[in-house]
Amino acid sequence: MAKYSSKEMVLNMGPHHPSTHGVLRFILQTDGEMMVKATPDVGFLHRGLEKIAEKVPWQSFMPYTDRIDYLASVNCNLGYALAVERLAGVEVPERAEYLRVIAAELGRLGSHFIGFGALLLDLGAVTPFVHALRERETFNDLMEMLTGARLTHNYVRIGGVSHDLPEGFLDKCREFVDHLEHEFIPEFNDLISFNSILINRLANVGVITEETAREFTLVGANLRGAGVPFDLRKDEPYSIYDRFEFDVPVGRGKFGQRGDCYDRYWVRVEEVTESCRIIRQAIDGLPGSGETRTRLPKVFKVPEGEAYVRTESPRGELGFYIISDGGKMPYRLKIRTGSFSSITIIEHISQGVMVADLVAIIGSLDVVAPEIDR
Amino acid sequence: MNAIRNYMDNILKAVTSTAKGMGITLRYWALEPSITVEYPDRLGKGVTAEDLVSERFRGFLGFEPSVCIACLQCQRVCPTDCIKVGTEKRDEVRFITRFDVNQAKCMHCGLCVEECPTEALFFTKRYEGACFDMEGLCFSHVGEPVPAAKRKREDGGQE
Repeated sequence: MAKYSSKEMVLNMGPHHPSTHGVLRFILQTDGEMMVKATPDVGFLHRGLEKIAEKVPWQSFMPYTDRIDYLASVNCNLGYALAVERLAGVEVPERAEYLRVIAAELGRLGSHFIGFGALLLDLGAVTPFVHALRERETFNDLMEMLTGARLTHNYVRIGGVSHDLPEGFLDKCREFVDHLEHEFIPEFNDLISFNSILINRLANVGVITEETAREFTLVGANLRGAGVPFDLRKDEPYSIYDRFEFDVPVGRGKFGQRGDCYDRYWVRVEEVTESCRIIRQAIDGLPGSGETRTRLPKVFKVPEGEAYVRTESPRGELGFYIISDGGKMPYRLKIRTGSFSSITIIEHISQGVMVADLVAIIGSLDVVAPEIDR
Repeated sequence: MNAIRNYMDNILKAVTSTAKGMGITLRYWALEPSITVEYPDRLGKGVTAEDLVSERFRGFLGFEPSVCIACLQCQRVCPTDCIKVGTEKRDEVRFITRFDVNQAKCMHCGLCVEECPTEALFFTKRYEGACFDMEGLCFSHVGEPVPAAKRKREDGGQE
């Protein structure tokens, strides 16, 4: 009789595995179908954005922030702009603030479509992914109308926004938001969210307790999925978020334990509705006319000092730490992103799960590879 | 007995919730119109790729030499250094000797177009630039040196 090895088998998942998000590599130690450990190997998408920031003028770094998180580039633009504005003391016109919020919340919608859509695709449900992509397409069209680009929008500028609204944008935007809240989300829930096969795949899988979430400094929807009602838009309002009324969805263990994959999925679905509410209020409150941009001097210099501004991007806290030496370029720029803390927890919660569940865990954490490496 | 009931319940739940989802899929398949848009060259009827993009679309950079005042703002603000402008002074008149745009390096951010005070630099709607050689994406917009346009006094740009 042949001797069988009882050693653990080491498998490589990635770096080009389609069900991981972007170029991401996992080293899996498996024992049959069970996982002993999954170690993420990051760094494939490192582009040295922080170093580039030290070499380009303050305004010219804006297009690079698009590339931090390409699924919601306006939110990254906004974080950088707020940080520079705080340091330089630049005032932003009222109308520009509203336009920023509308664009940023649209970005959050667009990002969540891919977020939960890709999770469902990873689990083998292609149809809901296509439904989510259809909505993402409308979002892309809206952003193309507003900014001129479909992926790397580069909309926010230091001291305002790049363009005023195009004609007919608000009507289309309102129509889109109404469609999402009243048609898309209920239909999507019937299509897949309450499907008992999906519930069985997600509920009680990859449970993250409140303490673990805090230990691994999870942020954003992953932290809220674990039951911590922490949202920077509510707790530390930046821009004009304190003027809007919205709820912070929290994981409550809808179909299983609190903090499982389904809770994180469900928090994202609920956040779509909340973003719709914010957009509608922002459209209503938008001042009729006015400046959309403060003119900066030709050679823009930022006074010496440092600032840390954190904003709520779709993937959680996005922080820009800026040091200026009073010159034309940043002296140092540090970017703190949500995906990086999400990826660190995978090693911890993947112990003892099935290989198929790992895909669900990665998907539910909504990791975007370029945001990990920057 | 309880176990059997549970088992049957689970099957029933799976079947009904899946049937509900499949019903939606079926409705889309049978009743809703297709939302897929084919790539423009398949559309025929003279529809080109440029016709499908929005007004503000950021495509390849276009350049109008007759209004350029050679202020070099675009070159200064470009994050990827894809714009190269050369100027030369001959008999008290400034000439633009070169205006090269390396479209392969350009990331279409739009900073240069915003900085341009005279709208000499603008976006076209063209975006299909596939070619076999990188050189094919380097555009020289100025062949023979052209005199730079007079800048307006109130403009106040640097001399």
